[in-house]
Amino acid sequence: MSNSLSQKSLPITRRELSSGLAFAEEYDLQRLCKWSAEGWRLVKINGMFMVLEQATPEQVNFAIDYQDTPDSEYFEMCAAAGWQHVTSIESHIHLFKSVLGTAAIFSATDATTKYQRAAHMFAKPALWSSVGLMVSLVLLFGVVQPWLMAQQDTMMVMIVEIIAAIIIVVIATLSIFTAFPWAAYRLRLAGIPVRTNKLIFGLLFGICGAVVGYYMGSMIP
Amino acid sequence: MNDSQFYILAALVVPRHGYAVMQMLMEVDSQTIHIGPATLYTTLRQLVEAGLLERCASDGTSKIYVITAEGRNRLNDEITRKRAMVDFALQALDQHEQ
Repeated sequence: MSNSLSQKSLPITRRELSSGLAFAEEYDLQRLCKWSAEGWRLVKINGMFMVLEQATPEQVNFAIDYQDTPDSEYFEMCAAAGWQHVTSIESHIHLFKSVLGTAAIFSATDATTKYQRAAHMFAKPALWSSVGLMVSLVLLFGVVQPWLMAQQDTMMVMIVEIIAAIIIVVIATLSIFTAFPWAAYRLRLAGIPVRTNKLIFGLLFGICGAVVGYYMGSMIP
Repeated sequence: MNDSQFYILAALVVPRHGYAVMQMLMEVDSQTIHIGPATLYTTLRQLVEAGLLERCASDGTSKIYVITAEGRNRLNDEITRKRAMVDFALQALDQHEQ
């Protein structure tokens, strides 16, 4: 009996893969509206996944804004205007929802400045991770690989190769998740259509996946 | 100076907190201006950083903003510029109608 009660109190959740807010913001916001109407409320965004919880169906709109560590005044202003804070990603990407008919969270003339803020936020991490990736690749192929080829101890060679691979994959992942969003926001500001943007980054993700897969595959004896 | 900055500077000739600015601007014809809360927050930050507004006190958790002397000068300059634009357009229309 108590077991069934505790099971009832647990909310039913599901996870949905995000399309990447930098690449397909409109598509993800539309999906959130649809899920809300079907009784699935967004709880949080965990990395690439949106966590949804079963709730009363509601007709709402969603909006996303980029503000670097805003204070409580920001959320109070949004709430006063009818925009309820849903969740934030790393204190600079903020998701809001409102009932249908609520006045827009941005001014009509301010539609692009949020992408300028977003590009600015990603610029430094994108630069440093890209420089880190370039330096790591130069060191790997210019120093580590020639040195490994001269070694006799196969066990040591394997250990160094595994460590090098892990380092490269971590830096490459950081680079992809900072440089790609930065580039996506810059392309938006340049007026490139969202559909083209998605296609470009779909291809780039595919190429990166193939390169990493090939590199990892080449390490298998 | 864009429209949002212009309206916010004008609204803060009298000290107000952000929410009061938003409410005041909501009463203006929505066809003329709509400043959403995200835009308002960003613009307030920009104007404070530019020295055109300052925070003069805190009303509980809300900050109160007011225009600075520099902000007042910029607002007057902008009013003069906008008047000249309107005068030019009115003259052009008058000449066309005659």
